Amino acid sequence: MNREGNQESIARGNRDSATLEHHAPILLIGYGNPLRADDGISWAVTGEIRARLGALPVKVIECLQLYPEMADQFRDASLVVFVDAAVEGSPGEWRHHRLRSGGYISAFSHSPTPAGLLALAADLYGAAPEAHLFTVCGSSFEYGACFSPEVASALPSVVAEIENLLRTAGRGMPVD
Amino acid sequence: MTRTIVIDPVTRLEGHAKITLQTNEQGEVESARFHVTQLRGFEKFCEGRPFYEMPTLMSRICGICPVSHLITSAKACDAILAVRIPPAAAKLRRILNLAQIIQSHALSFFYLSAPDLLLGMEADPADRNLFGVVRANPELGRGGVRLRQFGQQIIQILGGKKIHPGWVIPGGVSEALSIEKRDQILGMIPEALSITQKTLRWFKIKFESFREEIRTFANFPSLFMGLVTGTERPGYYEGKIRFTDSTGKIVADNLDPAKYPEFMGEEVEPSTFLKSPYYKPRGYPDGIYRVGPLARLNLSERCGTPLADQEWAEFRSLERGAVLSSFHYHYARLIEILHAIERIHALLEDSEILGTQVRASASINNEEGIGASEAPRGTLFHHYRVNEQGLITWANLIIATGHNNLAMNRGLLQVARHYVHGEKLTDGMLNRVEAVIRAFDPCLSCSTHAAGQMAIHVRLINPAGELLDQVGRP
Repeated sequence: MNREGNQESIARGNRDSATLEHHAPILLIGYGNPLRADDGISWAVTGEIRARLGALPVKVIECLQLYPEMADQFRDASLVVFVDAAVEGSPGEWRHHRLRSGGYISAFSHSPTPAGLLALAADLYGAAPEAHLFTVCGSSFEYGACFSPEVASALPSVVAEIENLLRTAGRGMPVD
Repeated sequence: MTRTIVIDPVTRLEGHAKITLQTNEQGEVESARFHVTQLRGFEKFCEGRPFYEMPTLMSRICGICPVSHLITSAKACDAILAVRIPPAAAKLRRILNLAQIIQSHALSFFYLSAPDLLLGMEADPADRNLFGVVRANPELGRGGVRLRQFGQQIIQILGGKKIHPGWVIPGGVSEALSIEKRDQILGMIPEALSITQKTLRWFKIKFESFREEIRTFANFPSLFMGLVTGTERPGYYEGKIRFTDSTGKIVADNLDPAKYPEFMGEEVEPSTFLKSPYYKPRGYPDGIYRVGPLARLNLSERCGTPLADQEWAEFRSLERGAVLSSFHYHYARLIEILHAIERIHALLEDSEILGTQVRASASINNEEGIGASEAPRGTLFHHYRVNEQGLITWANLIIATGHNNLAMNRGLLQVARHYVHGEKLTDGMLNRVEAVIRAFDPCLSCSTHAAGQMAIHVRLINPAGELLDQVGRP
């Protein structure tokens, strides 16, 4: 897998849609720098989940940072799950936050926060989807593609939790 | 008593910058300087790298316009190989370059400048951002998001990634265009065209309320420079260099970009790391010129596509000679977006675009190569020298923001003299100082627009170093 830049794919049927702007009912967005050790944990999470989802209509996006145009993809989504690394907490500790739109917006409008993106989607299209943020606290953000032992050991449990959330949300949804 | 007003920082992207305004005894601005305070050093640390790595390496210069560096670097490498790339590859590169112009111009217009244009220069800084635009005019906001996405999607479809794509390589491109991808892009064009035309209609009414800014925002006679193709149209991917003056008269024409050292000098000022290129025959600093959208529309006799040509004619009727106010960079950007969409459409309808021969191969045939193209902000030059093994021994880059350095400084002085008076600094006053820089859309402009708080810190200091007033982030 290319470990840099924006990667998008639809989990169903190995359809690599890096070149297709596909709007899906469920979005899984992992953001961070995969060349900065634990900051790349979100890409590992999304990679694991992509391999497990089978026929669920989930669009997986991996990127270095969030950008305002992502709000456009929220139009047709009922659920958005963000995955990010964190610096607060104990290394390897992961947290699950239910997000509300209209929260904190980052200082620079070309790199919004998850809550800022939801607020933007609500302003643009009148509604924002249900959204969750999973964070995994890292201990090393130096150059490198390997995770610290604490973060590596947290990977299975956070993947399982997100997978469960996606499967519950996707139950009964039509696949295209 | 003379005073110094320092705006620091003005940026976090592509180097930090600050602005210094010096006032006289009467509180009038006497001088204005725009300082870029960080050295990036790409020209030095690429030395010793194989030339074929340069396109990918150079694209890392910028996260906003990586495609421009990618293409221009590849053109310099084409020159080292001494190859003429296959026609399909040249056309595909043209599409990628135009997509880059669309997404960058959309970012500049809708995300960075529309808050000022829609909400006004005196509006609450907490609202002067994309989110404020969306709340005040959702249709305009949606259009901006969709239009930028349109440009980025084309880059992703062709290059594999929205930011820092590969694909463009020395000798051509790495993969031919499929019918599926061509049709996907074609399918997106009607919406992009509609958004652009609506925005143009809105802006042409809106800018009537900015008469004072039009009159004072870097509105002065200067030369204009850019690539021209077919003797009359802006040459975004290729062409010959043309200089025109403020009356619209051609000063120099048909200049080979590869011979830029013959007509272009580069001056270094101790107060900034940004070089100041100038037109050599007029010397420094009288050889001041402007590049970018305003220059390109001033240099040409038409755009070369039907809808954009109509808009170009209307644009040029604003003044008898060249359009001189840098406020009209915004207008020119919209016209260029329109042209780029039309041109992409035409290129995709060309049967040659699906050609499968997209790369020319060769060994090193020249020890020197120069590439030039029009980036969103103006003419971009990459100049490399290599040894027998193809390792870079020397590199020089002239970037669009640099071409406009002298003009930005002059524009800054003009707008500061008009709006900055006395010892008290107001937010509207400072926003106009920022906005004149923003009109040129230097890469650093994106960090001058914060959501909820200003990204600048302005201090008014007397000669004794005492702080008289400050505005912005503490």
